[in-house]
Amino acid sequence: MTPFPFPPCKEVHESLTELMEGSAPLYKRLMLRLHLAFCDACRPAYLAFLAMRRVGPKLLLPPADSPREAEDALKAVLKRVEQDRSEKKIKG
Amino acid sequence: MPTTPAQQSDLIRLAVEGDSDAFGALIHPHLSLFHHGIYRILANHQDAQDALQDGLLAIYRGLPRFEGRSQFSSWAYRICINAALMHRRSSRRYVEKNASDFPSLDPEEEHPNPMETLPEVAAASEAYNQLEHRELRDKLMETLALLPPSQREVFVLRDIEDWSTEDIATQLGVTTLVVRQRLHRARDFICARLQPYFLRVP
Ligand SMILES: [Zn+2]
Repeated sequence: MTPFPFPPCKEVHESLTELMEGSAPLYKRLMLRLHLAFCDACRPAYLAFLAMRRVGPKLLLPPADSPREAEDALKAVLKRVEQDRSEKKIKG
Repeated sequence: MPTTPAQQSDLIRLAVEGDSDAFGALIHPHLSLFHHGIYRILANHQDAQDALQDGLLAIYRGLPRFEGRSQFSSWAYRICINAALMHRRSSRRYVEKNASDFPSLDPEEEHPNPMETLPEVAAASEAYNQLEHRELRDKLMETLALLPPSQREVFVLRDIEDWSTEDIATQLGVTTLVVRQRLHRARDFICARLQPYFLRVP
């Protein structure tokens, strides 16, 4: 239950991305922020959204070594490059 | 082995002349980055391998047009991301209204200012292996794989690759409203599963 009659929790939750992206009109942003400041149900979700945006790129950094499938893809492309080169030589 | 800018220029020149060893040496320091970028979008090993192959071939064919306005790794990475997006569109599992409206693979054609900087793999591996992050990282990867592909790609492009909403909309051929809706559903889906983890992150 929201301690504020407007906007209701459901609407606030559905507007979190709009708020983060800065695409909500000013008045709506103010109402959303006011709601978030006081609502213990919506605030954690908003904080989690923000944390996800902040740490997501760091969490999903690539490993130092490329996996086998990546090495195989490169090998296949190098083979193709070699073939192209040989065909060009024959034609040339 | 990382290459210096001068070595990289030499490798690019040789690769343009058709030297496959030079192309391999040019790509290899960035291979993990390219693969990982693709895998995050497709969340499937076979698809990622196929898209990486397409991306690498597009890099090779695009090399004569590489003008050095951006870093080679940024330019090539963008091609790989575009290859992943194109792979998703051409996938039989994906029904697209405008199947012929494929995004361009060449980043300089559609995006005059491709990303200037990219995470270096050496720095990346440090954070990657931090024990406290490993659990959350694994769970995030698992959850990404559960997302509908249309939501996953928007989430990855916006929250991981940091593309603008407008760029994503242009690249995917949808409105910014649709991008925001998909992004919200993706964040909601992920948060519903991982909120306690994210709230513990310092
Ligand atoms: Zn609320």
